Amino acid sequence: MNKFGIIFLLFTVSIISSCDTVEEIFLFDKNDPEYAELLAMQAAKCVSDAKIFDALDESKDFLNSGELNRIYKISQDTQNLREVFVKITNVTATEMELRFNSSDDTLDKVVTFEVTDHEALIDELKIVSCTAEYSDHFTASGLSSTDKMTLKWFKETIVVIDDDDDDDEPEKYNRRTDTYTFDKDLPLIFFYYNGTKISNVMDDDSDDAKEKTSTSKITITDVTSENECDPSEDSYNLNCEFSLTSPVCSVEIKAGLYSSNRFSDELIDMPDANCNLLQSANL
Amino acid sequence: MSLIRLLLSSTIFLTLAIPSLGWSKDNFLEFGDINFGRDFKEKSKWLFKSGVELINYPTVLPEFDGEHENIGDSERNELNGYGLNFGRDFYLTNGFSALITVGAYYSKTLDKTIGKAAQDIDLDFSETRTAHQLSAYEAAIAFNYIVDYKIVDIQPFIEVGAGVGTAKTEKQYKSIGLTSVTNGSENYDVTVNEDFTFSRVSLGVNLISYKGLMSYLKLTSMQIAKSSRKTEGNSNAYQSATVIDISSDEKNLKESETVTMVSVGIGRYF
Repeated sequence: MNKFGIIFLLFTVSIISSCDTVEEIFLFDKNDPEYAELLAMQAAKCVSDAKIFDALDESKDFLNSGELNRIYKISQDTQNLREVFVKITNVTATEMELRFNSSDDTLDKVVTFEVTDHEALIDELKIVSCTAEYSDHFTASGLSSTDKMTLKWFKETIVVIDDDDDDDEPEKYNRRTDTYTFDKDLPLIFFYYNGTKISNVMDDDSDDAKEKTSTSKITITDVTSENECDPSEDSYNLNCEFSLTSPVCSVEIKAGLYSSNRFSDELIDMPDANCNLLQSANL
Repeated sequence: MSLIRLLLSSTIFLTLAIPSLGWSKDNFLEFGDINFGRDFKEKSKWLFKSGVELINYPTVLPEFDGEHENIGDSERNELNGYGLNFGRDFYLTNGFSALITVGAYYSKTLDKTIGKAAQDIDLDFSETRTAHQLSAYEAAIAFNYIVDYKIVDIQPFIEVGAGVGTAKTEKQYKSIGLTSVTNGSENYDVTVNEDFTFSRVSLGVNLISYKGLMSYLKLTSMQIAKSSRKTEGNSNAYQSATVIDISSDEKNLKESETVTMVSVGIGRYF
């Protein structure tokens, strides 16, 4: 291409780049009486646009979920500090029975997860994912996905506030970011066992102090067809035996925690006696 | 805003283009050695030129008084487009010449304004989309006088021309409305097609470097006479459940408007 061609090309590009404009304007502000209604409209649109909620909603059909007799292994942290085996031992149209077995007896239990729990969990998920008011605490990604999404919950405890105003950062703090993955191919309650918790702690207010970071990761895998759950195999794991019948645990979906900073708060709870949720290690 | 962008992009372009006017490494930037004035000054020659043109076009749309957009019946819209001209420059005498050209102009622009609910609420509450498409064809004659300098020749000119054109304007506005307001949503969707003739007079200057490469700047006053207008569309006003057809077909119009146009571009004598 000769120089005249290059000039012509530059000219054309400069014209094209000057043709179209897109401008954004803001129609209301926080002081307007419409503000609260607009927040609700934004949340409603976010929910209606998101495909993942419909996908997760489909998996409340427990009878046709194909989960009966499936076995999962929950592994905590890369060192496999603890392993828990879970088997779906009974399924009806309204509930699912899950038996948890571990070398740590405190985690053994029989859990009843009901369709209403499933629905309530999705309702909570919609609220925390799509309400701008809670965006300081929750960040959702994958809303347009049709198979899985992740939710981050940011929690913070300020121990000593910023006393020198040099960086707007508190002098001492505990922060934690809990990340959960909601997968439509897993019983929804397993979100709790499918994620990462990252802790950032500043417990020293001296000038050269550094933040301490630690991570706890929990993964869940389908081991239904694995040797460790096949009694005929040498590598059979005795924790893949599900004869236990107690303690019997119900699931409670915790609502209204949208602004919570408490590290102990989770979206689910098992309030019955001896029903312990797996806690994150190394935090 | 579009004027600023036009001038900015043109400045960037000319900044890039002018140092590139040499055709080979041997005579790069040696304007004085092979001067256009010496080769072409006293000869008739052909000219091809193209440029960016900004026109302040008058648009006539059905009126609409919306909650977040008001559309007036007559608006001026800045359109920028692309012009091409081809012609022959006839040498007269003593540096004077007459340039006869035929040319075409085409513009297609789209402007969109998104009305977000609020700074911290990610909700598209309203959207206004304005699309313009303008094409015109013309014949023109320019009277030039060349001043021969060593580096670059300066050629002021006055030009008159006439032609025909068509314009298409699409205006769409929609607002979702508050859920608490019955029939709070709004909609306006109109397409206007116009035919027009025009005559114009322009003043400008050509900067001509060696071997006839040139750039130009031109200011134009244009008299536009619109002969027909066809409007198609409908609107739905705030708190109204009725969609109103606002189509019309106007022939034998006798509307006349004066518009201005700014042009910058490049060309080559050969």
